[in-house]
Amino acid sequence: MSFKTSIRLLILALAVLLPTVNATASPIRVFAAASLTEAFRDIGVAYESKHPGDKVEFNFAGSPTLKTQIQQGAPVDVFASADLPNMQALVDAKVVNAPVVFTRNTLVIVTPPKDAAVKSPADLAKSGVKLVLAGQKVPAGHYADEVLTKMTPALGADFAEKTRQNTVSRESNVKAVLAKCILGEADAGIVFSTDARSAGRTVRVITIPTEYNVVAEYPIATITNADNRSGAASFVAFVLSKPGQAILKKYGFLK
Amino acid sequence: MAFLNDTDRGPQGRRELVGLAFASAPLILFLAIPFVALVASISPAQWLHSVHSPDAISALALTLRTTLLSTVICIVGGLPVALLLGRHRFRGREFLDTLIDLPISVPPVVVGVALLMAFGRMGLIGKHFHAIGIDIGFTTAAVVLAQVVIASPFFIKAARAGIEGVDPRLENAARVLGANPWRVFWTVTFPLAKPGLLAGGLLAWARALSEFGATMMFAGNFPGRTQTLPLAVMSAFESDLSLSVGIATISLILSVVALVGAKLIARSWRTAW
Repeated sequence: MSFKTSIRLLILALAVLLPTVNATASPIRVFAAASLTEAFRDIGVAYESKHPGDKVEFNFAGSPTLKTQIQQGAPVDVFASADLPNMQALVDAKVVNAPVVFTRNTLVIVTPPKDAAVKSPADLAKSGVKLVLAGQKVPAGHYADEVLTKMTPALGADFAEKTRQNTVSRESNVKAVLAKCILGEADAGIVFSTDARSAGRTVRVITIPTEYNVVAEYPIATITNADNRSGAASFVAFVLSKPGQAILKKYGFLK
Repeated sequence: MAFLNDTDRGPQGRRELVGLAFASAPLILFLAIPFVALVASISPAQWLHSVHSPDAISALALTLRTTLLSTVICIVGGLPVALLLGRHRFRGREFLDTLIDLPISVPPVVVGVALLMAFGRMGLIGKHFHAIGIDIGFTTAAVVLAQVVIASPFFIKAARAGIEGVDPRLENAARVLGANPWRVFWTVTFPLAKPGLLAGGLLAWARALSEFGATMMFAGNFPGRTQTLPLAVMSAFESDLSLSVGIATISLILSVVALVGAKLIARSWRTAW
């Protein structure tokens, strides 16, 4: 191959590649709590259809896992946590800009659909019951601990202790808790009401009375040194907008 | 022995060695750097602190308990399989051989789901156990079961290689002299194949030590009961990175011990010959 042909080929290659490089602007990378999986996928589709050319990529996991990944420098533009502590850790480290609470959630008890050993919150303390919770740093996990503590005076002084003994696993995110209940491996799990809703008939739901329940606040924030700052801001604005909030409501999230 | 060959081959051999060393350097560095970075990322004080944490201690104790038990099960259950494959021709041998390779190539998390489908409460076999009040999921037994499935192929493969290395004429001689199969095995095959069997046991132990995916799926994650070192690394990662790194280094040390042990045994075997 002569030098001239090589140069021509090089120019041709650049001509072909450069426009694609320009057209694919860097995607908006969103790290979101596992409980947001279904709602945020839907929001992503709605956002992309409203902003042609923009691309949203999601990484769903337990909030503390995402928090650690972000602390370790994972490439990310937006973080949505299922609780305030995991977000606050990043605020303190000045990794994220000021967060805004964009939605709320409550907890429910889920059991396998048939032959459930647990039919009421009191049954969680029955001996031999296998209770699965999210990890202590995972939002659905520490909220579940809070609920069990709140129930304790009413359901017996040793309720908290007995449910702790019945806890057979602490999963790394709320969806893993749900899966163990759908499979029937666990007799009961405590998850967000939106998770139970997304599981449909594959689980039975036992509501937790308001006086014992918690209202989980979900904060969202842009990352201070995001690669795609404008995209990040625009995605957060969309989540807070009427269409974004409508999608969250559709999945059972609270205002 | 490689060095002997190089001096035999003279300057050309040495040139080849240098060339290959340069060509190998990128991948070798790529393999080594993460482990160096892991160990370097934590100060000795932090390391001591995390090693003394209750989560690390209970994870270490549970890991040693479960992996030693699962290694024994791999050896006792795997030895007949290795003899079958290494010494006999029969229909379905290829099928059995592929089955043995399966847990090595299938993602452990798939093995975990498969274990749930088999031994979970609603599983093929598990539902009958459940009916008589035995649940395997979320117990230490589930951790051991997951390790046995994942690690036994490593023992079987090494043990089979060891057995195939024993000259069948020696076994035949013993047989001709009137020894029964049991005696032939213990007096001829076993002593000669011992290094291969030991190395296989150590490899199986090393694999059991690192088992994560199947355990998380099938046994869950609870400190002291099902939270082995790899699961403790994951759980600590969510809250305390230096604790996570500390536990990870304990896991690394154990694996190095197992692998070096396997290497030493293999070397003593070669020099003996």
